[in-house]
Amino acid sequence: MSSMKSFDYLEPTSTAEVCELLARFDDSARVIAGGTDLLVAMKRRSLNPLKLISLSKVQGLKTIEYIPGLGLRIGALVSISDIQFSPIIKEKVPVLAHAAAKVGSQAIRNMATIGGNLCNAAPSADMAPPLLVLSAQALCSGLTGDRRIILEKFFTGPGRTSLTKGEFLAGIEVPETSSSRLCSFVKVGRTAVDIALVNTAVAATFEYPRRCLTGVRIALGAVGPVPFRSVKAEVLAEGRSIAADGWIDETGMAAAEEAQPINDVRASADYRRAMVKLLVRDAFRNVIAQAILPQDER
Amino acid sequence: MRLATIGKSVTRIDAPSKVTGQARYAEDWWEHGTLYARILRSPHPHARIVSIDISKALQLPGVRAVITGNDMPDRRMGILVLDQYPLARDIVRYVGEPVAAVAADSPDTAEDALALIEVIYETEQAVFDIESAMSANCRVIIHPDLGKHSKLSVTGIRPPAAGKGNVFLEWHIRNGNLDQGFKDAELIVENRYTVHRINHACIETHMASACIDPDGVLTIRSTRQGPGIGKPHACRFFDLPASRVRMMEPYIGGSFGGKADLWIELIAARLAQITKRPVRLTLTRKEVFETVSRSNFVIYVKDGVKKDGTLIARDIRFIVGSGAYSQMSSAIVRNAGFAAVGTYRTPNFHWASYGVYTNLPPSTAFRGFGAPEVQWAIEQQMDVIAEKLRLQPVEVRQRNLLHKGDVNVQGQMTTGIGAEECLSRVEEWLGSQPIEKKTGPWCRGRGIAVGNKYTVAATTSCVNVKVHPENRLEVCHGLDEIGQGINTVAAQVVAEEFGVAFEDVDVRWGDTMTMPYDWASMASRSTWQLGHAARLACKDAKRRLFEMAGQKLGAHPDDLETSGWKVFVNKCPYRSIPIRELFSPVGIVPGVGEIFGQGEYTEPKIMEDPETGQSPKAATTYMYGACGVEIAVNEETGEIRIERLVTAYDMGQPINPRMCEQQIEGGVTQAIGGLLYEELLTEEGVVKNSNFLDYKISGTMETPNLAKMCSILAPDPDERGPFGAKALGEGVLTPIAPAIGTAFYNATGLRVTDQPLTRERVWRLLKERKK
Amino acid sequence: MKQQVWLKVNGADYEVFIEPSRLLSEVLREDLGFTGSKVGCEEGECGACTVLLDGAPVRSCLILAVQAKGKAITTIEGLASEEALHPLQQAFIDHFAVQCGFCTPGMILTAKALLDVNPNPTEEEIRQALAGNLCRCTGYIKIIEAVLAVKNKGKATDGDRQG
Repeated sequence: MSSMKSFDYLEPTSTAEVCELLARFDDSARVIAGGTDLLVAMKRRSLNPLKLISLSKVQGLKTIEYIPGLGLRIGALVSISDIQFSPIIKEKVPVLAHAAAKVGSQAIRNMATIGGNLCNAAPSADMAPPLLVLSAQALCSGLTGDRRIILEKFFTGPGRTSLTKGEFLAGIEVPETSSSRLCSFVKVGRTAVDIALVNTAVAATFEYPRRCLTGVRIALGAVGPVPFRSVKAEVLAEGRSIAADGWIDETGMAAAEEAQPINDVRASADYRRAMVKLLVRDAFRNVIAQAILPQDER
Repeated sequence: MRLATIGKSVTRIDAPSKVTGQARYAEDWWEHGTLYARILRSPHPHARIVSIDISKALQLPGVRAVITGNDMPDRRMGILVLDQYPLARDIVRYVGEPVAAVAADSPDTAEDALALIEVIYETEQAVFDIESAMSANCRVIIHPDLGKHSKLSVTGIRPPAAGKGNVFLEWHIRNGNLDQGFKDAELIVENRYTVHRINHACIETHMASACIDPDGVLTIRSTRQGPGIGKPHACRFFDLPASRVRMMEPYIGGSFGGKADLWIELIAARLAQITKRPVRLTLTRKEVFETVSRSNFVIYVKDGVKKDGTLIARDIRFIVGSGAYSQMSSAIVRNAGFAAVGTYRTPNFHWASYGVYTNLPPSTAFRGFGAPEVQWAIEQQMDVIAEKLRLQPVEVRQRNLLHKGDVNVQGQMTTGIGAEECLSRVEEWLGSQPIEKKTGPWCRGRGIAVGNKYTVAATTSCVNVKVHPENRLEVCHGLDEIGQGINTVAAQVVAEEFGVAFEDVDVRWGDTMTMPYDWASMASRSTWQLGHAARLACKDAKRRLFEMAGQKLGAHPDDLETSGWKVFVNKCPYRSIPIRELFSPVGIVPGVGEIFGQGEYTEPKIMEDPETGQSPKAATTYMYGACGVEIAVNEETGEIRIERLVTAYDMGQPINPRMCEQQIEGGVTQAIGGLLYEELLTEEGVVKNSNFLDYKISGTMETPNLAKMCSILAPDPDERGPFGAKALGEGVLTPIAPAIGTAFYNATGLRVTDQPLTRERVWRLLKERKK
Repeated sequence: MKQQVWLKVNGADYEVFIEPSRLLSEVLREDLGFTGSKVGCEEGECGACTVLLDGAPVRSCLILAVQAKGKAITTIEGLASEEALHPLQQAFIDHFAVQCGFCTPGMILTAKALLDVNPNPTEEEIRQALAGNLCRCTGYIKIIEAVLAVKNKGKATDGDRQG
């Protein structure tokens, strides 16, 4: 039998009801989506909520929708494996499917949700870097209605988000432009199934006439209190030609400098910093490999 | 001898129940009214317990008992050294030491109660490093009273003392003249090696449930490896006769030595005595990581060799970091010496081993019991020697290998050694493909090593065999089915002896009330011991059978033989009688009853000379093996990939070849994991990675592809063994790590003498190399 | 507060009256007697407790029983028919993919879910699918071989049909 503290399990059926319950119970309540992170914390007794508010009966949180002109809307309860295997995601933003495939094991991905992955706000969350480089927005539902937060502003610290009292993450919106972007997600762990020691995503637009990358976005995970964009490195890579590659190492070094890794049981700060440089390089190589060039230029 | 069942890969007898989920493990029973126990553990590595206040915990509704060390009998537990209270009294010596235990109606209540127990500690200085702990200057003495409270009857045991450090056990093997050997040497190679702490990581955690049955018998069902070790402990601890303690070990979800110590049965039993209710105590994965581990080791080896590679002197100092209590690691101090003498001729030799206390958690047996660790050092020495003398690594080994009939440096005759054959088989396989050059950040190298593992002597096994009128045999033994397949081995042995089909045999085990005595599935002894005892039991049953059949057939029992469920006259097999017909006149009701046979086997041992460690019969036998490996090292990330890996083992006559492969493949993966991924990380005595998220073991993605692996069986039967069998499971590990170590050297130019080779460590080593 | 919960396990309906804090693994093992699901780490990392939820492998130690309401739960006990073992079960026996057996139920169920969606996986795909199921005894080789064997049988049947 479980050694978790006992709690009440509530199953509201509407967004309004969820918000109302969250507002009423505030800190003594937690939202449960897949539960794969939350239940571990509760078993370890580092979290002891008195109320668990399940989202499973709320309509519309489990769908992946493509709205032409607007982009993708992914419900908070969409499982990581649904993202991994979704045809529409594979078509529009394959990088999300790649990142999803790197989250835990298949059995975890079957339960874990995109909402949970983001709201758990682990610095190492694998879904965060690709969403950051795609300028995704968090769709937050609250007592007074919905609001959108650019994902960079969503994470406020390890395990902390900018959700306010009575508010929950209802979904993620990925802008339409994403599908024309070249993206890559890369990760280093100790073994194949592992929490990221470092993860990195890069997105860029390939401008064929100049053979260069523009609108470059680089995001790093597990090397700071939150997953973040490495803005200085982005500047270095902006507008660079895909023919030359000296700038890639420079960019990697800049990203490594911008990283603020810590020493922990998984890796040292030194190692993480070194891996940032490598991952940024590998991500750019992947991005460049996706650039469509005429046959004679390949 | 033509064998019908031995040597055949018959299906594992336990597989059907395991694939259907029917097989039951200790955790799968619930008694009515069961209480759930939890343990309060010390947060300090070394502290005096000033007071424990359990009153608040006792007041919590649902709590049925809270006990501390004072509620337990005042007896210390141990294997060679009695130094450990199951629940601490007065002093705690490691982080995680049990201080109090709770039994409650539910696990969450038990957990809540732990938080209400108030313990006041007075912390003391602690020591974690083995060599600091053994130094005469060490100011922390962990068991200064050892001599007062424990009979130090075992040779080499001495109490730690101020000015003498924390060594509690010292053991020597001496032969020849070491000084002269080094004088005559043309090359001296001297290195220090270390082996880190790892956890057994059995997928089943430890659990014990206990109750007092209506007849007053203390009944324990647990995951313990070795009822023959565990039950006497329980009898001594509670001062109960053997007939009043019953231990049951159903299927065990892996052990690898990790379930051979721990005294959780005694805590559960005491709670059951006090509450008069059944009590179950299941350790969490975190508790297992925090309290169970392989010892850490420091090994100094100094070798003197001739220019042609002949080893003429070897001096080994083998230091075992036992942690806070000696447990099984005390026996490693002595037994690892068997491995040090098992492979090579070494005319002038000194082995000195030490058991040392530190304030790390106590450590215990781990698959190989010192053999993989000592050979991590010895085998890399052989490679260093080969390189310095510009000889081939295989050549240096072949030059020094013991041969059948040779007396090893401890004084024991070598009775079968397939090492040379194993070595040449792996060399041939590995060399059959050229090695790839450096590709991108990946550099490649190859390594080869041999290994041995002794089988322990002087233990007893008993087996009962019953012949039933329905043409079925039932074999009852007292060993553990920890996954190694001993039940299948038991069935194969008696099927062979009776000349019947393997499918005609049922196997019973795992209950000291109904099974005959055995010691443990441990120390590479199960097949050897059970094999002998089962053959004797069959002989005994057959003797009775032949006496009965002799009357019916009008033949002398000595002239009878049996197979295919018939007894027949040896030289005229048409004079026969079906076994089932022998039952008719035996029982009161025709056709009912059983024919019983008993077998008892003790492997003889001549105790070692206390000064020189010499004995003509110290160990039972030796198995051998070799590994060849090609690895790729990523210079950027530090990742090591196994590119190709071949092993060959001499396990004597394989009883079941595919089960041998199981042992080999599993052992190889475990050895790779232990070297490349695993490490128990401690900080001031606190285990920092106490879960599978942060303690990584190999998964499917870390295992080399099927085409890259090759397991060769290269048996060199020992005619003294049952059907020529020796042993396998533990020894699989012995050549793997050193082969990878040398492959790493050949890939990177760095000789690594310290384990592990985790990614970040490799990355750091390569970074430092560049400087 | 205890709740009345209906669970559908191996095709049969069960009613339990449980605290919401009860995990699916606990209810399956303790209340319903499906002890084939083993609990190895309680944190979703080892895979021994894997069961199928609507056909997909999940960790029963990381799901509240109340979360499994209305879903079809398959445990290892539900795999064999009256007449025969599931081909994977038979293959695990025939290929010596079982040692201590503690990881076996989770391995077989995870492999079943793979074969249900991908009847002809490559060795690499099998490794990927089983990557989160830890085994300390076998070294995985015979497990992978067992799954490959079932896959190959599938292929033969396909071939027959085409022929």
